Amino acid sequence: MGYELIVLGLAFLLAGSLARLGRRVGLPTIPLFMLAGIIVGPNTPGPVLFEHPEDLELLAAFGLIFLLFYLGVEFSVEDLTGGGRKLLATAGTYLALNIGAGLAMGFAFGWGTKEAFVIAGATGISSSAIVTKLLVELRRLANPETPLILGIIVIEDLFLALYLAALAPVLGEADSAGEGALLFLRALGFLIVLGLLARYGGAWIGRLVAARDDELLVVLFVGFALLVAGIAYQLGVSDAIGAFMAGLVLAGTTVARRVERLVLPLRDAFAAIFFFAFGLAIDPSDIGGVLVPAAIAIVVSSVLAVVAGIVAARINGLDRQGAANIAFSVLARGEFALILVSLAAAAGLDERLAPFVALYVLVLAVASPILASRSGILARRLPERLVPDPAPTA
Amino acid sequence: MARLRESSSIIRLPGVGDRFACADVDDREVQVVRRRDEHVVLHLPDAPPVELDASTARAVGAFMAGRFAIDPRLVQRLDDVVGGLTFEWIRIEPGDAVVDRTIEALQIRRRTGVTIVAILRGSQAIVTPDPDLPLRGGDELVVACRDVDLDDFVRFLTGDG
Repeated sequence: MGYELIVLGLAFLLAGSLARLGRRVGLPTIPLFMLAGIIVGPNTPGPVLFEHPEDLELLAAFGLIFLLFYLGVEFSVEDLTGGGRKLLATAGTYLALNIGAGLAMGFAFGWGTKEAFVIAGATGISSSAIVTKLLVELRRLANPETPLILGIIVIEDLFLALYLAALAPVLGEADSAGEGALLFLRALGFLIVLGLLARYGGAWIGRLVAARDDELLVVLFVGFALLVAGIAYQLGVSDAIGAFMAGLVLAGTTVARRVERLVLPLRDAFAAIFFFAFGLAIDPSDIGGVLVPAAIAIVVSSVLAVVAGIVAARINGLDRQGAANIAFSVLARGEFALILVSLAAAAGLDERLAPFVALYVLVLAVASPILASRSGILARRLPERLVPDPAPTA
Repeated sequence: MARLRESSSIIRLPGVGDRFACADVDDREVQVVRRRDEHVVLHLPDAPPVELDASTARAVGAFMAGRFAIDPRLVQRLDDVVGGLTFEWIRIEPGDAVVDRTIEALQIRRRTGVTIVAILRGSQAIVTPDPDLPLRGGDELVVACRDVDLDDFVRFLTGDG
Protein backbone atom coordinates (compact mmCIF):
# COMPACT_ATOMS: atom_id res chain seq x y z
CA MET A 1 0.00 0.00 0.00
CA GLY A 2 2.75 2.45 0.99
CA TYR A 3 4.65 1.74 -2.21
CA GLU A 4 1.58 2.32 -4.39
CA LEU A 5 0.87 5.63 -2.70
CA ILE A 6 4.45 6.82 -3.18
CA VAL A 7 4.36 5.90 -6.85
CA LEU A 8 0.97 7.53 -7.34
CA GLY A 9 2.12 10.70 -5.61
CA LEU A 10 5.18 10.82 -7.86
CA ALA A 11 2.94 10.32 -10.89
CA PHE A 12 0.77 13.33 -9.99
CA LEU A 13 3.80 15.49 -9.19
CA LEU A 14 5.61 14.55 -12.35
CA ALA A 15 2.59 15.09 -14.59
CA GLY A 16 1.81 18.38 -12.86
CA SER A 17 5.39 19.67 -13.00
CA LEU A 18 5.81 18.85 -16.67
CA ALA A 19 2.49 20.51 -17.51
CA ARG A 20 3.51 23.53 -15.47
CA LEU A 21 6.70 23.91 -17.51
CA GLY A 22 4.56 23.66 -20.63
CA ARG A 23 2.15 26.33 -19.42
CA ARG A 24 5.03 28.80 -19.24
CA VAL A 25 5.37 28.58 -23.01
CA GLY A 26 1.63 28.41 -23.60
CA LEU A 27 1.23 24.66 -24.11
CA PRO A 28 -1.95 22.86 -23.03
CA THR A 29 -1.78 20.33 -20.21
CA ILE A 30 -3.28 17.24 -21.84
CA PRO A 31 -0.36 16.28 -24.14
CA LEU A 32 2.13 16.89 -21.33
CA PHE A 33 0.27 14.66 -18.84
CA MET A 34 0.41 11.97 -21.51
CA LEU A 35 4.09 12.65 -22.21
CA ALA A 36 4.89 12.28 -18.50
CA GLY A 37 3.27 8.84 -18.65
CA ILE A 38 5.28 7.84 -21.70
CA ILE A 39 8.56 8.94 -20.05
CA VAL A 40 8.16 6.91 -16.84
CA GLY A 41 6.32 4.01 -18.46
CA PRO A 42 7.77 0.52 -18.74
CA ASN A 43 8.53 0.98 -22.45
CA THR A 44 11.09 3.77 -22.27
CA PRO A 45 14.65 3.71 -20.90
CA GLY A 46 15.20 5.42 -17.58
CA PRO A 47 13.11 5.26 -14.44
CA VAL A 48 10.07 2.99 -14.52
CA LEU A 49 7.39 4.03 -12.05
CA PHE A 50 4.73 1.62 -13.21
CA GLU A 51 5.52 -1.89 -14.33
CA HIS A 52 1.82 -2.53 -14.84
CA PRO A 53 -0.12 0.42 -16.26
CA GLU A 54 -3.35 -1.51 -15.61
CA ASP A 55 -2.87 -0.88 -11.87
CA LEU A 56 -4.13 2.63 -12.55
CA GLU A 57 -7.23 1.32 -14.32
CA LEU A 58 -9.77 2.34 -11.69
CA LEU A 59 -8.35 5.84 -11.15
CA ALA A 60 -8.12 6.40 -14.90
CA ALA A 61 -11.75 5.27 -15.23
CA PHE A 62 -12.68 7.95 -12.69
CA GLY A 63 -10.96 10.49 -14.93
CA LEU A 64 -12.93 9.38 -17.97
CA ILE A 65 -16.20 9.40 -15.99
CA PHE A 66 -15.69 12.90 -14.57
CA LEU A 67 -14.62 14.31 -17.95
CA LEU A 68 -17.85 13.14 -19.54
CA PHE A 69 -19.97 13.89 -16.48
CA TYR A 70 -18.78 17.51 -16.54
CA LEU A 71 -19.60 17.74 -20.22
CA GLY A 72 -23.15 16.61 -19.43
CA VAL A 73 -23.63 18.96 -16.47
CA GLU A 74 -22.53 22.06 -18.36
CA PHE A 75 -24.53 21.19 -21.45
CA SER A 76 -27.38 23.55 -22.17
CA VAL A 77 -29.91 23.52 -24.97
CA GLU A 78 -29.70 27.31 -25.30
CA ASP A 79 -26.01 27.00 -26.15
CA LEU A 80 -27.04 24.74 -28.99
CA THR A 81 -29.97 26.75 -30.35
CA GLY A 82 -28.59 30.21 -29.48
CA GLY A 83 -26.31 30.28 -32.53
CA GLY A 84 -29.12 29.72 -34.99
CA ARG A 85 -28.96 28.11 -38.40
CA LYS A 86 -25.62 29.58 -39.39
CA LEU A 87 -23.96 27.87 -36.43
CA LEU A 88 -25.60 24.55 -37.30
CA ALA A 89 -24.50 24.91 -40.93
CA THR A 90 -20.94 25.76 -39.88
CA ALA A 91 -20.60 22.99 -37.33
CA GLY A 92 -22.29 20.53 -39.68
CA THR A 93 -19.79 21.37 -42.42
CA TYR A 94 -16.89 21.00 -40.02
CA LEU A 95 -18.05 17.63 -38.72
CA ALA A 96 -19.01 16.27 -42.14
CA LEU A 97 -15.56 17.18 -43.53
CA ASN A 98 -13.60 15.78 -40.61
CA ILE A 99 -15.60 12.65 -39.85
CA GLY A 100 -15.82 11.91 -43.57
CA ALA A 101 -12.09 12.30 -44.06
CA GLY A 102 -11.46 10.30 -40.88
CA LEU A 103 -13.52 7.40 -42.19
CA ALA A 104 -11.76 7.57 -45.56
CA MET A 105 -8.36 7.51 -43.84
CA GLY A 106 -9.47 4.74 -41.49
CA PHE A 107 -10.50 2.48 -44.34
CA ALA A 108 -7.43 3.44 -46.39
CA PHE A 109 -5.12 2.35 -43.56
CA GLY A 110 -6.81 -1.05 -43.73
CA TRP A 111 -6.71 -1.79 -40.01
CA GLY A 112 -10.33 -2.91 -39.96
CA THR A 113 -13.86 -1.53 -40.01
CA LYS A 114 -14.23 -0.97 -36.26
CA GLU A 115 -10.81 0.69 -36.25
CA ALA A 116 -11.91 3.01 -39.06
CA PHE A 117 -14.87 4.22 -36.98
CA VAL A 118 -12.57 4.91 -34.03
CA ILE A 119 -10.12 6.83 -36.25
CA ALA A 120 -12.99 8.89 -37.69
CA GLY A 121 -14.12 9.93 -34.21
CA ALA A 122 -10.63 10.54 -32.89
CA THR A 123 -9.54 12.71 -35.82
CA GLY A 124 -12.92 14.39 -36.31
CA ILE A 125 -13.68 15.88 -32.89
CA SER A 126 -11.81 18.88 -31.43
CA SER A 127 -10.75 19.15 -27.81
CA SER A 128 -13.28 21.20 -25.81
CA ALA A 129 -10.86 21.71 -22.96
CA ILE A 130 -7.96 22.98 -25.07
CA VAL A 131 -10.04 25.21 -27.36
CA THR A 132 -11.94 26.90 -24.51
CA LYS A 133 -8.79 27.54 -22.51
CA LEU A 134 -7.01 28.80 -25.60
CA LEU A 135 -9.65 31.44 -26.33
CA VAL A 136 -9.65 32.64 -22.72
CA GLU A 137 -5.86 32.82 -22.55
CA LEU A 138 -5.41 34.53 -25.91
CA ARG A 139 -8.04 37.03 -24.67
CA ARG A 140 -10.15 36.49 -27.74
CA LEU A 141 -13.49 36.36 -25.94
CA ALA A 142 -14.48 39.70 -27.49
CA ASN A 143 -13.63 38.62 -31.04
CA PRO A 144 -16.46 38.31 -33.57
CA GLU A 145 -15.62 34.66 -34.37
CA THR A 146 -15.44 33.48 -30.75
CA PRO A 147 -19.14 32.68 -30.16
CA LEU A 148 -19.00 30.68 -33.38
CA ILE A 149 -15.95 28.67 -32.32
CA LEU A 150 -17.49 27.92 -28.92
CA GLY A 151 -20.77 27.00 -30.62
CA ILE A 152 -18.96 24.56 -32.91
CA ILE A 153 -17.33 23.02 -29.83
CA VAL A 154 -20.70 22.55 -28.10
CA ILE A 155 -22.11 20.80 -31.16
CA GLU A 156 -19.00 18.63 -31.35
CA ASP A 157 -19.48 17.70 -27.67
CA LEU A 158 -23.03 16.58 -28.36
CA PHE A 159 -21.89 14.76 -31.47
CA LEU A 160 -19.24 12.97 -29.42
CA ALA A 161 -21.91 11.75 -26.98
CA LEU A 162 -24.05 10.43 -29.83
CA TYR A 163 -20.99 8.92 -31.51
CA LEU A 164 -19.97 7.16 -28.29
CA ALA A 165 -23.49 5.79 -27.94
CA ALA A 166 -23.49 4.49 -31.50
CA LEU A 167 -19.95 3.15 -31.25
CA ALA A 168 -20.43 1.12 -28.06
CA PRO A 169 -22.50 -1.65 -29.68
CA VAL A 170 -20.12 -1.64 -32.67
CA LEU A 171 -17.14 -2.22 -30.38
CA GLY A 172 -19.05 -4.78 -28.32
CA GLU A 173 -18.37 -8.45 -28.70
CA ALA A 174 -21.30 -9.35 -30.85
CA ASP A 175 -20.82 -12.71 -32.58
CA SER A 176 -23.73 -12.33 -34.95
CA ALA A 177 -25.79 -9.60 -36.52
CA GLY A 178 -28.73 -10.59 -34.31
CA GLU A 179 -26.69 -10.28 -31.17
CA GLY A 180 -25.35 -6.95 -32.36
CA ALA A 181 -28.87 -5.68 -32.94
CA LEU A 182 -29.86 -6.83 -29.44
CA LEU A 183 -26.89 -4.98 -27.92
CA PHE A 184 -27.83 -1.90 -29.90
CA LEU A 185 -31.47 -2.01 -28.77
CA ARG A 186 -30.42 -2.49 -25.15
CA ALA A 187 -28.10 0.50 -25.39
CA LEU A 188 -30.80 2.56 -27.08
CA GLY A 189 -33.35 1.63 -24.41
CA PHE A 190 -30.97 2.67 -21.64
CA LEU A 191 -30.27 6.00 -23.32
CA ILE A 192 -33.97 6.66 -23.86
CA VAL A 193 -34.70 5.97 -20.17
CA LEU A 194 -31.92 8.36 -19.11
CA GLY A 195 -33.01 10.90 -21.71
CA LEU A 196 -36.56 10.84 -20.30
CA LEU A 197 -35.14 11.12 -16.80
CA ALA A 198 -33.13 14.17 -17.89
CA ARG A 199 -36.22 15.73 -19.47
CA TYR A 200 -38.88 14.97 -16.86
CA GLY A 201 -37.17 13.60 -13.77
CA GLY A 202 -35.14 16.67 -12.77
CA ALA A 203 -37.19 17.38 -9.64
CA TRP A 204 -37.11 13.74 -8.53
CA ILE A 205 -33.37 13.28 -9.03
CA GLY A 206 -32.86 16.73 -7.55
CA ARG A 207 -34.45 15.50 -4.33
CA LEU A 208 -32.10 12.51 -4.27
CA VAL A 209 -28.89 14.47 -4.85
CA ALA A 210 -29.52 18.09 -3.85
CA ALA A 211 -28.03 18.75 -0.44
CA ARG A 212 -27.68 22.16 1.09
CA ASP A 213 -24.06 21.83 2.01
CA ASP A 214 -21.34 21.19 -0.50
CA GLU A 215 -19.84 18.19 1.27
CA LEU A 216 -23.00 16.10 1.05
CA LEU A 217 -23.71 17.29 -2.47
CA VAL A 218 -20.28 16.10 -3.65
CA VAL A 219 -20.72 12.69 -2.05
CA LEU A 220 -24.19 12.27 -3.53
CA PHE A 221 -23.44 13.38 -7.09
CA VAL A 222 -20.26 11.31 -7.24
CA GLY A 223 -22.36 8.33 -6.20
CA PHE A 224 -24.96 9.06 -8.86
CA ALA A 225 -22.34 9.53 -11.61
CA LEU A 226 -20.48 6.31 -10.75
CA LEU A 227 -23.69 4.29 -10.44
CA VAL A 228 -25.06 5.37 -13.81
CA ALA A 229 -21.65 4.91 -15.47
CA GLY A 230 -21.38 1.42 -13.97
CA ILE A 231 -24.84 0.38 -15.10
CA ALA A 232 -24.09 1.71 -18.58
CA TYR A 233 -20.87 -0.32 -18.66
CA GLN A 234 -22.69 -3.49 -17.63
CA LEU A 235 -25.27 -2.96 -20.37
CA GLY A 236 -22.51 -2.57 -22.97
CA VAL A 237 -23.17 1.14 -23.54
CA SER A 238 -19.77 2.24 -22.15
CA ASP A 239 -19.22 4.04 -18.86
CA ALA A 240 -18.30 7.23 -20.74
CA ILE A 241 -21.76 7.72 -22.20
CA GLY A 242 -23.37 6.71 -18.89
CA ALA A 243 -21.40 9.43 -17.14
CA PHE A 244 -22.40 11.99 -19.79
CA MET A 245 -26.07 11.10 -19.36
CA ALA A 246 -25.76 11.28 -15.56
CA GLY A 247 -24.41 14.81 -15.97
CA LEU A 248 -27.21 15.67 -18.37
CA VAL A 249 -29.79 14.50 -15.82
CA LEU A 250 -28.25 16.69 -13.11
CA ALA A 251 -28.05 19.64 -15.54
CA GLY A 252 -31.84 19.79 -15.26
CA THR A 253 -31.87 20.13 -11.46
CA THR A 254 -31.62 23.20 -9.25
CA VAL A 255 -28.12 22.22 -8.10
CA ALA A 256 -26.66 22.11 -11.64
CA ARG A 257 -24.44 25.19 -11.24
CA ARG A 258 -23.11 24.01 -7.89
CA VAL A 259 -22.37 20.52 -9.21
CA GLU A 260 -20.60 22.06 -12.18
CA ARG A 261 -18.37 24.05 -9.86
CA LEU A 262 -17.71 21.23 -7.40
CA VAL A 263 -16.89 18.54 -9.95
CA LEU A 264 -14.11 20.60 -11.53
CA PRO A 265 -11.31 19.75 -9.05
CA LEU A 266 -12.30 16.07 -9.17
CA ARG A 267 -12.28 16.13 -12.95
CA ASP A 268 -8.91 17.87 -13.11
CA ALA A 269 -7.19 15.44 -10.73
CA PHE A 270 -8.54 12.21 -12.15
CA ALA A 271 -8.42 13.30 -15.79
CA ALA A 272 -4.68 13.97 -15.32
CA ILE A 273 -4.29 10.35 -14.22
CA PHE A 274 -6.37 9.20 -17.20
CA PHE A 275 -4.01 10.98 -19.63
CA PHE A 276 -0.96 9.85 -17.66
CA ALA A 277 -2.13 6.20 -17.69
CA PHE A 278 -2.76 6.48 -21.43
CA GLY A 279 0.85 7.58 -21.85
CA LEU A 280 2.16 4.74 -19.67
CA ALA A 281 0.75 2.16 -22.04
CA ILE A 282 2.42 3.75 -25.09
CA ASP A 283 5.56 2.06 -26.35
CA PRO A 284 7.56 4.68 -28.29
CA SER A 285 9.10 1.95 -30.43
CA ASP A 286 5.59 1.33 -31.84
CA ILE A 287 5.42 4.90 -33.04
CA GLY A 288 7.82 4.18 -35.92
CA GLY A 289 5.23 1.84 -37.42
CA VAL A 290 2.49 4.46 -37.39
CA LEU A 291 4.58 7.45 -38.42
CA VAL A 292 3.22 7.62 -41.95
CA PRO A 293 -0.50 7.24 -41.09
CA ALA A 294 -0.15 9.74 -38.25
CA ALA A 295 1.62 12.24 -40.52
CA ILE A 296 -1.13 11.83 -43.12
CA ALA A 297 -3.83 12.33 -40.50
CA ILE A 298 -2.11 15.45 -39.12
CA VAL A 299 -1.81 16.98 -42.60
CA VAL A 300 -5.40 16.10 -43.53
CA SER A 301 -6.81 17.52 -40.28
CA SER A 302 -4.78 20.72 -40.67
CA VAL A 303 -5.89 21.27 -44.26
CA LEU A 304 -9.51 20.55 -43.36
CA ALA A 305 -9.33 22.97 -40.43
CA VAL A 306 -8.27 25.73 -42.83
CA VAL A 307 -11.01 24.74 -45.29
CA ALA A 308 -13.56 24.77 -42.44
CA GLY A 309 -12.26 28.14 -41.29
CA ILE A 310 -12.75 29.59 -44.78
CA VAL A 311 -16.24 28.10 -45.12
CA ALA A 312 -17.19 29.32 -41.63
CA ALA A 313 -15.97 32.84 -42.41
CA ARG A 314 -17.99 32.91 -45.62
CA ILE A 315 -21.19 31.62 -44.01
CA ASN A 316 -20.92 34.05 -41.10
CA GLY A 317 -19.50 37.10 -42.86
CA LEU A 318 -16.16 37.16 -41.02
CA ASP A 319 -12.86 38.46 -42.30
CA ARG A 320 -9.64 36.55 -43.03
CA GLN A 321 -8.36 36.94 -39.49
CA GLY A 322 -11.59 35.35 -38.27
CA ALA A 323 -11.14 32.45 -40.70
CA ALA A 324 -7.57 31.85 -39.50
CA ASN A 325 -8.55 32.05 -35.84
CA ILE A 326 -11.33 29.50 -36.35
CA ALA A 327 -9.05 27.17 -38.31
CA PHE A 328 -6.26 26.97 -35.75
CA SER A 329 -8.52 26.89 -32.69
CA VAL A 330 -10.68 23.98 -33.78
CA LEU A 331 -7.55 22.11 -34.90
CA ALA A 332 -6.76 21.20 -31.26
CA ARG A 333 -7.24 17.53 -30.47
CA GLY A 334 -7.06 16.07 -26.99
CA GLU A 335 -9.28 14.34 -24.47
CA PHE A 336 -11.94 12.98 -26.84
CA ALA A 337 -9.45 11.33 -29.19
CA LEU A 338 -7.79 9.67 -26.20
CA ILE A 339 -11.14 8.60 -24.73
CA LEU A 340 -12.20 6.96 -27.99
CA VAL A 341 -8.94 5.10 -28.30
CA SER A 342 -8.95 3.94 -24.70
CA LEU A 343 -12.41 2.45 -25.37
CA ALA A 344 -11.00 0.81 -28.50
CA ALA A 345 -8.09 -0.62 -26.50
CA ALA A 346 -10.52 -2.02 -23.92
CA ALA A 347 -12.43 -3.68 -26.76
CA GLY A 348 -9.22 -5.31 -28.02
CA LEU A 349 -8.96 -3.46 -31.33
CA ASP A 350 -5.79 -3.10 -33.43
CA GLU A 351 -2.83 -2.20 -31.22
CA ARG A 352 -1.57 0.40 -33.68
CA LEU A 353 -4.49 2.70 -32.77
CA ALA A 354 -3.00 3.81 -29.43
CA PRO A 355 0.43 4.94 -30.68
CA PHE A 356 -1.19 6.43 -33.79
CA VAL A 357 -3.58 8.61 -31.80
CA ALA A 358 -0.94 9.40 -29.14
CA LEU A 359 1.34 10.89 -31.79
CA TYR A 360 -1.56 12.60 -33.57
CA VAL A 361 -2.81 14.24 -30.35
CA LEU A 362 0.68 15.15 -29.19
CA VAL A 363 1.40 17.05 -32.41
CA LEU A 364 -1.98 18.76 -32.84
CA ALA A 365 -2.50 19.65 -29.17
CA VAL A 366 0.86 21.41 -29.22
CA ALA A 367 0.61 22.85 -32.73
CA SER A 368 -2.88 24.32 -32.40
CA PRO A 369 -2.15 26.84 -29.59
CA ILE A 370 1.14 27.85 -31.24
CA LEU A 371 -0.51 28.39 -34.61
CA ALA A 372 -3.59 30.05 -33.10
CA SER A 373 -1.48 32.64 -31.33
CA ARG A 374 0.18 33.45 -34.67
CA SER A 375 -2.91 33.17 -36.84
CA GLY A 376 -2.16 36.51 -38.49
CA ILE A 377 0.46 34.76 -40.60
CA LEU A 378 -2.19 32.58 -42.21
CA ALA A 379 -4.74 35.38 -42.37
CA ARG A 380 -2.40 37.49 -44.51
CA ARG A 381 -1.80 34.60 -46.90
CA LEU A 382 -5.42 33.65 -47.47
CA PRO A 383 -6.42 34.92 -50.91
CA GLU A 384 -9.13 37.54 -50.69
CA ARG A 385 -10.97 35.65 -53.41
CA LEU A 386 -11.62 32.85 -50.86
CA VAL A 387 -12.58 35.07 -47.95
CA PRO A 388 -13.97 38.37 -49.19
CA ASP A 389 -13.78 41.22 -46.71
CA PRO A 390 -17.20 41.47 -45.10
CA ALA A 391 -19.24 44.44 -46.22
CA PRO A 392 -19.54 47.00 -43.43
CA THR A 393 -22.90 46.61 -41.78
CA ALA A 394 -23.25 50.24 -40.83
CA MET B 1 -14.72 47.89 -37.81
CA ALA B 2 -16.90 50.40 -35.96
CA ARG B 3 -20.47 49.29 -36.34
CA LEU B 4 -23.60 51.11 -35.44
CA ARG B 5 -25.64 49.23 -32.88
CA GLU B 6 -29.34 49.85 -32.39
CA SER B 7 -28.88 48.98 -28.75
CA SER B 8 -26.78 46.80 -26.55
CA SER B 9 -26.88 43.03 -26.90
CA ILE B 10 -25.93 39.95 -24.93
CA ILE B 11 -24.45 36.90 -26.64
CA ARG B 12 -23.83 33.56 -24.98
CA LEU B 13 -20.30 32.21 -25.04
CA PRO B 14 -21.01 28.51 -24.52
CA GLY B 15 -18.83 26.97 -21.82
CA VAL B 16 -17.29 30.34 -20.96
CA GLY B 17 -20.02 32.81 -20.01
CA ASP B 18 -21.85 35.73 -21.61
CA ARG B 19 -20.75 38.73 -23.63
CA PHE B 20 -22.37 42.14 -23.47
CA ALA B 21 -21.73 44.47 -26.39
CA CYS B 22 -22.54 48.14 -26.66
CA ALA B 23 -21.10 51.37 -28.05
CA ASP B 24 -19.47 54.24 -26.22
CA VAL B 25 -20.54 57.85 -26.85
CA ASP B 26 -18.13 58.00 -29.80
CA ASP B 27 -19.77 54.86 -31.19
CA ARG B 28 -16.77 52.68 -30.61
CA GLU B 29 -17.32 49.08 -29.61
CA VAL B 30 -17.28 48.22 -25.90
CA GLN B 31 -17.54 44.59 -24.83
CA VAL B 32 -17.88 43.11 -21.39
CA VAL B 33 -17.38 39.38 -20.91
CA ARG B 34 -18.80 37.79 -17.79
CA ARG B 35 -17.16 34.40 -17.35
CA ARG B 36 -18.68 31.44 -15.55
CA ASP B 37 -16.14 31.81 -12.77
CA GLU B 38 -17.69 35.29 -12.34
CA HIS B 39 -14.55 37.10 -13.43
CA VAL B 40 -15.36 39.99 -15.73
CA VAL B 41 -13.16 41.02 -18.65
CA LEU B 42 -13.60 44.53 -20.05
CA HIS B 43 -12.68 45.05 -23.69
CA LEU B 44 -12.50 48.80 -24.24
CA PRO B 45 -11.47 50.56 -27.46
CA ASP B 46 -7.71 50.89 -28.03
CA ALA B 47 -6.79 49.29 -24.71
CA PRO B 48 -5.68 45.85 -23.61
CA PRO B 49 -8.42 43.78 -21.92
CA VAL B 50 -8.93 44.36 -18.18
CA GLU B 51 -9.83 41.42 -15.95
CA LEU B 52 -11.72 41.91 -12.67
CA ASP B 53 -12.28 39.23 -10.03
CA ALA B 54 -15.81 38.38 -8.95
CA SER B 55 -16.19 40.68 -5.95
CA THR B 56 -14.54 43.66 -7.65
CA ALA B 57 -16.76 43.17 -10.69
CA ARG B 58 -19.87 43.13 -8.50
CA ALA B 59 -18.80 46.28 -6.68
CA VAL B 60 -18.07 48.07 -9.98
CA GLY B 61 -21.38 46.89 -11.41
CA ALA B 62 -23.37 48.15 -8.42
CA PHE B 63 -21.52 51.46 -8.50
CA MET B 64 -22.19 51.90 -12.23
CA ALA B 65 -25.85 51.10 -11.73
CA GLY B 66 -25.91 53.96 -9.23
CA ARG B 67 -28.12 52.04 -6.84
CA PHE B 68 -25.75 51.45 -4.01
CA ALA B 69 -22.01 51.23 -3.92
CA ILE B 70 -20.94 48.14 -2.02
CA ASP B 71 -17.72 48.52 -0.14
CA PRO B 72 -15.98 45.15 -0.56
CA ARG B 73 -14.53 45.48 2.94
CA LEU B 74 -18.05 45.81 4.28
CA VAL B 75 -19.14 42.68 2.46
CA GLN B 76 -16.10 40.91 3.86
CA ARG B 77 -17.02 42.03 7.39
CA LEU B 78 -20.64 41.00 6.97
CA ASP B 79 -19.34 37.69 5.73
CA ASP B 80 -17.26 37.27 8.87
CA VAL B 81 -20.16 38.22 11.12
CA VAL B 82 -23.10 36.48 9.48
CA GLY B 83 -21.32 33.80 7.47
CA GLY B 84 -22.09 33.51 3.76
CA LEU B 85 -24.47 36.46 3.56
CA THR B 86 -25.01 37.54 -0.03
CA PHE B 87 -27.10 39.97 -1.99
CA GLU B 88 -28.60 38.58 -5.15
CA TRP B 89 -30.71 39.87 -8.01
CA ILE B 90 -33.40 37.38 -8.94
CA ARG B 91 -35.90 37.81 -11.75
CA ILE B 92 -39.46 36.52 -11.47
CA GLU B 93 -40.72 35.01 -14.71
CA PRO B 94 -44.37 35.45 -15.76
CA GLY B 95 -45.11 31.73 -15.27
CA ASP B 96 -43.61 31.41 -11.80
CA ALA B 97 -45.74 30.04 -8.98
CA VAL B 98 -45.46 33.19 -6.86
CA VAL B 99 -46.82 35.65 -9.43
CA ASP B 100 -49.82 37.69 -8.15
CA ARG B 101 -49.32 36.56 -4.55
CA THR B 102 -48.25 38.85 -1.74
CA ILE B 103 -45.03 38.63 0.23
CA GLU B 104 -47.12 38.18 3.37
CA ALA B 105 -49.24 35.34 1.99
CA LEU B 106 -46.13 33.59 0.70
CA GLN B 107 -44.39 33.83 4.10
CA ILE B 108 -41.11 34.18 2.22
CA ARG B 109 -38.83 35.00 5.12
CA ARG B 110 -40.18 32.31 7.41
CA ARG B 111 -40.22 29.59 4.77
CA THR B 112 -36.99 30.33 2.88
CA GLY B 113 -34.86 32.49 5.18
CA VAL B 114 -34.61 35.11 2.43
CA THR B 115 -35.34 38.80 2.94
CA ILE B 116 -36.56 40.93 0.03
CA VAL B 117 -34.66 44.20 0.25
CA ALA B 118 -36.11 45.82 -2.84
CA ILE B 119 -38.18 45.12 -5.93
CA LEU B 120 -37.09 46.59 -9.26
CA ARG B 121 -40.24 46.93 -11.34
CA GLY B 122 -39.76 48.59 -14.71
CA SER B 123 -38.03 51.90 -14.03
CA GLN B 124 -39.32 51.96 -10.45
CA ALA B 125 -37.44 50.72 -7.39
CA ILE B 126 -39.59 49.68 -4.43
CA VAL B 127 -37.29 49.71 -1.42
CA THR B 128 -38.34 47.54 1.57
CA PRO B 129 -41.64 46.58 -0.06
CA ASP B 130 -44.86 46.32 1.97
CA PRO B 131 -45.81 42.75 2.89
CA ASP B 132 -49.18 43.09 1.16
CA LEU B 133 -47.60 43.94 -2.21
CA PRO B 134 -48.29 41.26 -4.84
CA LEU B 135 -45.29 40.07 -6.90
CA ARG B 136 -45.44 40.34 -10.67
CA GLY B 137 -43.79 38.55 -13.60
CA GLY B 138 -40.74 40.55 -14.71
CA ASP B 139 -40.03 41.87 -11.20
CA GLU B 140 -36.39 41.82 -10.19
CA LEU B 141 -35.96 41.05 -6.53
CA VAL B 142 -32.92 42.28 -4.63
CA VAL B 143 -32.67 39.79 -1.80
CA ALA B 144 -30.40 39.27 1.16
CA CYS B 145 -29.83 35.68 2.15
CA ARG B 146 -27.30 33.10 3.14
CA ASP B 147 -25.65 31.31 0.20
CA VAL B 148 -27.18 27.98 1.09
CA ASP B 149 -30.75 29.31 1.12
CA LEU B 150 -30.63 30.61 -2.41
CA ASP B 151 -31.33 27.37 -4.29
CA ASP B 152 -34.32 26.71 -2.07
CA PHE B 153 -35.60 30.20 -2.68
CA VAL B 154 -35.34 29.88 -6.46
CA ARG B 155 -37.17 26.56 -6.30
CA PHE B 156 -39.81 28.20 -4.11
CA LEU B 157 -40.31 31.00 -6.65
CA THR B 158 -40.66 28.73 -9.64
CA GLY B 159 -42.78 26.19 -7.82
CA ASP B 160 -40.38 23.27 -8.38
CA GLY B 161 -40.32 20.80 -5.54
